[in-house]
Amino acid sequence: MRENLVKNLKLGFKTNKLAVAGLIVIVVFSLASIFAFLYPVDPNAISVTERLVAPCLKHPFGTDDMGRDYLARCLYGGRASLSVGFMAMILSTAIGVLVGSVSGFMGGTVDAILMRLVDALMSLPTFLIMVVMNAYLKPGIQNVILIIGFLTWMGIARIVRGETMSLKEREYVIYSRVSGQSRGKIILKHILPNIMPTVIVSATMNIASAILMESALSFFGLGIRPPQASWGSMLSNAQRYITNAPYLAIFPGLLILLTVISFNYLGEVLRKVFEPK
Amino acid sequence: MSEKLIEVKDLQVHFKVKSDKPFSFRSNWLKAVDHVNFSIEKGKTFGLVGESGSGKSTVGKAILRYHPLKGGEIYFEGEEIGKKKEKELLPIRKKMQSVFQDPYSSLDPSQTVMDIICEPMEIHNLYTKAERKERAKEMVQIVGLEQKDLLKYPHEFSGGQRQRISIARALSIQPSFVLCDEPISALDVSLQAQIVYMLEELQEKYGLTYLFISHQLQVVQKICDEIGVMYLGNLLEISSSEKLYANPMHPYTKMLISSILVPDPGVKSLDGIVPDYGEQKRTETGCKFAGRCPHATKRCLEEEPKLREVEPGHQVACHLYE
Amino acid sequence: MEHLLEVKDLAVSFYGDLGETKAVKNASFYVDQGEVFGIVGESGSGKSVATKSILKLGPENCKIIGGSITFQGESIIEKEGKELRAIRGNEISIVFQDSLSALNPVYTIGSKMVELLRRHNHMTKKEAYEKSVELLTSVGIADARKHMKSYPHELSGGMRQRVMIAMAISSNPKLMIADEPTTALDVTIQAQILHLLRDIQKKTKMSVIMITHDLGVVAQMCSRIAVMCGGYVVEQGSAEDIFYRPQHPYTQALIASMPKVGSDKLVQFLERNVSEDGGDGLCPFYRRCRHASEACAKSLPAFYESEKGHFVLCHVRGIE
Repeated sequence: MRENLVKNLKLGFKTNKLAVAGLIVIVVFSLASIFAFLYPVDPNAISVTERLVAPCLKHPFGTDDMGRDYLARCLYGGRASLSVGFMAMILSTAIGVLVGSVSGFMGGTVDAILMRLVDALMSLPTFLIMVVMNAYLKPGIQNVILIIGFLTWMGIARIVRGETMSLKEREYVIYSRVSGQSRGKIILKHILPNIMPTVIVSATMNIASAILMESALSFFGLGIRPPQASWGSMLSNAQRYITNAPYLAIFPGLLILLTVISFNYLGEVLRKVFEPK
Repeated sequence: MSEKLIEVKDLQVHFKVKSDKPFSFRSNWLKAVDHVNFSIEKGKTFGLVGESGSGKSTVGKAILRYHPLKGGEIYFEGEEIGKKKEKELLPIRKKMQSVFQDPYSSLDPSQTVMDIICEPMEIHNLYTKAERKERAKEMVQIVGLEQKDLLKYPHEFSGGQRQRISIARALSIQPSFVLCDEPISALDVSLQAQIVYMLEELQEKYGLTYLFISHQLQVVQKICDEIGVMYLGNLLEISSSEKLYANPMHPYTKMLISSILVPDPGVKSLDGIVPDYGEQKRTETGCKFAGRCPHATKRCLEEEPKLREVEPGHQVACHLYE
Repeated sequence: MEHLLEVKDLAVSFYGDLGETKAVKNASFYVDQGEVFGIVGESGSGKSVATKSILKLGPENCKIIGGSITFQGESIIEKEGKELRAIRGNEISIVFQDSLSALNPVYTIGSKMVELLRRHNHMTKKEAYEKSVELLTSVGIADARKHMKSYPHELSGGMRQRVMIAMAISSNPKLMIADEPTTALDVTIQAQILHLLRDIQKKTKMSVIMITHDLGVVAQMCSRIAVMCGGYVVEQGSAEDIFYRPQHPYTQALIASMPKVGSDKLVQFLERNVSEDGGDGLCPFYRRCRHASEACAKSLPAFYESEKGHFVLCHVRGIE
């Protein structure tokens, strides 16, 4: 299975060149934001003399309205955006898998209650709630992660529930039941390993949407607060200068676009690889 | 008189089904198994045959306490187990094992053969870890696989080999009863014989008792000592396997036997089929088979016939034999 | 005499992510006017792919890579589009195993039948409707008029298969391909459907190709049989040839392993392991064969006609 997986992954990437590009983009962006300190420029250093400098040798991405180096801000902004994406994905996936598998496996009343909860959360306008919650919570990266994580697990929960319900009828699960295995252990040993493929795929897609949500929140000035940078907040800041310094919007916009597209292509390949043969 | 290992009395299993009326909150109940009685002697094989919807598989899983019972009793080694709670069942589950039909879904694709075979031993906390591994090695050899196969995953095996793994798993904790739920139906004909032979051999070696469920009469006849014929949740006939073929009594059994296509161009079995007068239909009153029966009378539609002994060791549920 | 359908040296491959998979390596058989011809084989023997290729009904990644197919003296292998459709469903019709997925769930039986009849014949709606009722009645559906308004899921499996047969015979085809038509059915229903198929065949004198894994079905239905194994037709002959005088060791083993009523004997058989199939150009059975000789490891035998019309693909044929 393991070696097969590696073989299938190789094959998947071989047949989908866009996914390879996506993978490279993600790796490069991640490394760049992790090792942002190697670029020895303070992203928050204000320089009144160098306001709105177009890209040049000294400032490859130019500077913003406060004369801060835009490349440095993009690198540190990537830290915020990508970590929000990853952490929110982990949180929402964990909740989704837990709720979905318990709901699907137990069935009956437990299932009914949990699924009504999911329905209720799904029917609420997520973005509005985010805005409201943001008003009460202190701004900061942790809260952005918590808010996005707690409001985006329903999709995964539904998928996991469906998968669990079909796996529950598999004969190896029936065998386990009639051999006396406890329900908790059946979920751990037989259900979770077999829904992992689906979960990984939707988790990948979820990263993309979490990054977009963070951008949107920041765009409305609700996410990460200045002077800390994130791609979304940079984009939001750039709109005032769109005519005289369009590069301020182009760089973070392009970065968000590339990241999201890359994650989507990656998810596509993973889905193909994990799809039951 | 030899000892009865399993006795099923008045077993009923009902399934909730959606009402056919829209917006109705009242659920309908499907009588999947309807007042079924039979017993299996120690060391013998009891066969259940029937077509889809007959409830044969449900009977098997109800004995293993997978389906909740609507009514009736199940005795295992003289002990009533139909009403036991899950916790009290554990020592009994150790003695009852199962081999299922689909070689592709009966083994967890994410586990190695070693994990699969060790699972029942782990559940019942038998042996130490090292002993379990030894036992697994022993089991794969018993079912004709190799030790190196223990590290492989199920998808690396063919259908027949997977059924062998299922059997090794079931026998690893030395059960006294094994439910074989269509264990060979999904296999190519050429492989069926192997599995059947192995099951017989193992039965002799370990004194196992089987409940063998199948829709193929030809196969059941080979391994079973006694056969029960089921139709829409009812047992219509119980007899020793030789007698069932030599002297089928119930019109449904006759229809089943006449429908077997003999693999011999010289025997024109298709000419002798019992004509069918209708369709499978669940009825509330009367004999379930009455709608398709060439001998059905008014009484058959009104009164449900009870299973009764017509000859020694031959029970039939049909008004024709009263 | 000219055969109705002649398939010669047919080879079909699938092209997937892992490259080429040869499903049919060499299949040659013919079907005569008015006969029921059976193709038996186990899963993966290529029997279904070979037959579906006649009408190019295989999946998209499946391609005929060699051989010839002649129907009524005309090569149909290059036929595409309109010409192919004129044969499909008109001269050659097909009955699938899974009737539920073969019938479109959103149309009633009646509307589907009327559409089908009008596509191939010049009929008014009313004529087609009456003809449909007649056809449904002829395949043993009681209350045909009522069932014209039924949707596929409202019918039982046996009834659906009857509808499929009615559709298949609606254009008076010369040849009907029945791909495991009764495998999904209960034994009692299977017998009834086969009985019906045989009656219809006798009445209309059409030719039928029965694809099945069940030797019981071919023994009862077919006058001539081809046995397929690992993509090759390994033996071909009359039903009596195959059942009473099987020459290929594979056929012998297959027939011996069939469970028979009233006999306690079951013959053991070697398990098929795909990797153990002979390589390209070797007998597909040679690694499992008890009689394999040195010649078998070297080359694929040529077809050998042991009696008139009885062909075997084996170096060491005839040993019992």
